Amino acid sequence: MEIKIESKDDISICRVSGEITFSTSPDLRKRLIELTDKHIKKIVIDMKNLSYIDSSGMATLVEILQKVKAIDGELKLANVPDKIKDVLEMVRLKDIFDIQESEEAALTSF
Amino acid sequence: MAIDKLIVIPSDFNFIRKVSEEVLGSLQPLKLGAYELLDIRLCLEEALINAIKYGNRFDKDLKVKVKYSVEKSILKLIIEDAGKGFDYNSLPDPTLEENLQELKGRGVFLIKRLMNEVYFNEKGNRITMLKNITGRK
Repeated sequence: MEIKIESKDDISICRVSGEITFSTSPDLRKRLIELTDKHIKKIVIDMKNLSYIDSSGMATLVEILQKVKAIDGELKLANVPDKIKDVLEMVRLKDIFDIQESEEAALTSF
Repeated sequence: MAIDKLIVIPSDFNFIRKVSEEVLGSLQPLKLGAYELLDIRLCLEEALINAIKYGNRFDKDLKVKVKYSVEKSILKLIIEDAGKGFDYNSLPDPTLEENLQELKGRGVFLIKRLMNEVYFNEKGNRITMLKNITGRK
C-alpha cells in the first residue's frame, strides 16, 4: 500500500494505492489520524488505484469517518473501484460514506 | 483437475498472505475470473484472521490448519484453529442500522455472502466454506 497526501486549500486528498488489509490498515489509520489531529476537516480518500480491501480496512475507514465527524468535518471517498464498491455495498457501508465518482466531484461537493 | 491440500501455519498474521498466495496459485489452472479470485482471497484471509486473532489469540505455539480442495467445480476451504471456539449463532448482523458504525463483525458476514455454503463445527473452531467456481464474473 502506498499513501500520498496532498493539500488543496483546506482540503486534504489522500491517494491510497495497492491494498488496505490487516497488515497495511494501521499505517493508513495513523496517516489519517494525523490529519484529524491537525483539525483538518475536509478529507478525500481517492481509491482509484486501490485493488483490495478487507474487513480491517473497512473498520479503519469507519473509524476515520467517526474521527472526522467528531471534529465536525466531512470525509469523502472518490474513484472507488467497482469491485470495492460492491463489497462496501454488501456490508451497507455505502450508506454511511459519501462516495463521489471522481476526485474533482469530491472536491466540489464540500 | 482435482486439488486436495493441507497447510499448517503458526498463529502469526505474517503467514496469511503466504497461504492465500498458495491457494490462489494452485487455482490458476482453473482460469477463474479476477473478481471470483478476489472473493476467494477475501474469505480465506478473513477466516485466517479470525482463527489467529480470536481462535488462537496470537499464541504462536498453536497452529491453524488450512485444508483446501477442488472437486467437480466446488472449492472447499476448511480453516481450523486450536482455540475454544465461539458461538457462531450469536454474531450480530453488521448491516443492521445500529451496527453500521461498528469496527468489527464484518468478516464472517462477508464470508457468508461471498461463499455458496458456510458452516461451523459445533465447537466453533472450524469453518467450512464451499464455493461453486464455474466462473461467476
